[in-house]
Amino acid sequence: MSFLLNLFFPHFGNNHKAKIIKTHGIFILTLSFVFFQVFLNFFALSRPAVLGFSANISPEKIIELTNIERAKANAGALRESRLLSEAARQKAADMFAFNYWAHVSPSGRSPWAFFTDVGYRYQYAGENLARDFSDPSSVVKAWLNSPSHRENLINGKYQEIGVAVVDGTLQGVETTLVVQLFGTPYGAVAPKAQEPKTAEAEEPIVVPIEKPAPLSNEVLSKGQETVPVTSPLDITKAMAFVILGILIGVFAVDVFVISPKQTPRLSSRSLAQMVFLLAILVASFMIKQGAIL
Amino acid sequence: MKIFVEDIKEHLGHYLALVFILAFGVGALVFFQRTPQMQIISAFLTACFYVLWGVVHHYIEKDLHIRVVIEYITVALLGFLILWSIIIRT
Repeated sequence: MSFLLNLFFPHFGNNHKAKIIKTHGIFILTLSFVFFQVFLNFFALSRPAVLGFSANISPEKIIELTNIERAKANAGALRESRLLSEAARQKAADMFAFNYWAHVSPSGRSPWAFFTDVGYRYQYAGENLARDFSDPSSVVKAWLNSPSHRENLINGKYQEIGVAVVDGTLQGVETTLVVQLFGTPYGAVAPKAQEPKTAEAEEPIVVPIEKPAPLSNEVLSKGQETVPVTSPLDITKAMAFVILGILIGVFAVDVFVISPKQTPRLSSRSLAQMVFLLAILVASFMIKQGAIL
Repeated sequence: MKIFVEDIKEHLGHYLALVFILAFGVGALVFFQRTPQMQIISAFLTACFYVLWGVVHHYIEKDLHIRVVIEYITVALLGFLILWSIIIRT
């Protein structure tokens, strides 16, 4: 008990300053954080199935996770289409070539042009985009958190999917682009999983077309790979929040216990330290992984 | 509480400068959301300016000591390392 008191509360026994906010206390916390990060890197590399560590997002994983989410929503599983995958690859290449981050290219080329370019005639079509994510589960999670992207992801009207993951430089930044295309070949009967909702969402869009066309498909492999439990980013943020929370709390106690007593001591300003750590906490919250469109 | 408020009033200019430095740092981190290198530079500069703020503040208050500077450097280092770890994982 006295150990905890010394660690967190300023009093005579610890020279009127909690040990955890003394220089050596913060230094030990810093070292622990660094060692934990090193450990996390090794663990993530040795157990990718647990932490999902990798910058190389595989299209197969995106499709698998998409189908898992569709199963939860009672929508039918999507088949991988080589044509859609090629269309997705061409869309990503076009985005890098013309340096844009949008559904429609600066020259006015719509996503649907890429479907028809590869000979995919669709009854329904949709597109989800993502960039700067390091693991597939974060990509799918971000799409699920956006109503319009979620609508595409679990829309029962779609029967096929194509995904491309391409690295390149977009708008001066090294980027991993993920292009996810959904489609239903013209003339195919859409499964009755749920009512289609197409009116409100601006992007991504579900577009009907009149003309039928033949289709080449590849059936999706249903291998049961393990979905990563969490990502190193989530763990790092969690640890950062714990450390910052403890320090902010102890500095706050220090401010409110020491200030009224006007205890003379050679020390940094606890209020300033608290404000600085609060700013770090806010910044940690605001730094987000990747972007979707 | 009264003494605490009086302390802030007495050093209002100092604390406003600190809030400005930190707000600018957080703003830069958000602004450069798609540019990790710039985010790391922003975090580093914010940490450096924070230490500088501490040095100037204690110099004006005439209680500047190497121990105090080390305290600011340690907290700034921890803050920077936390942000750096998060940025490189995004």
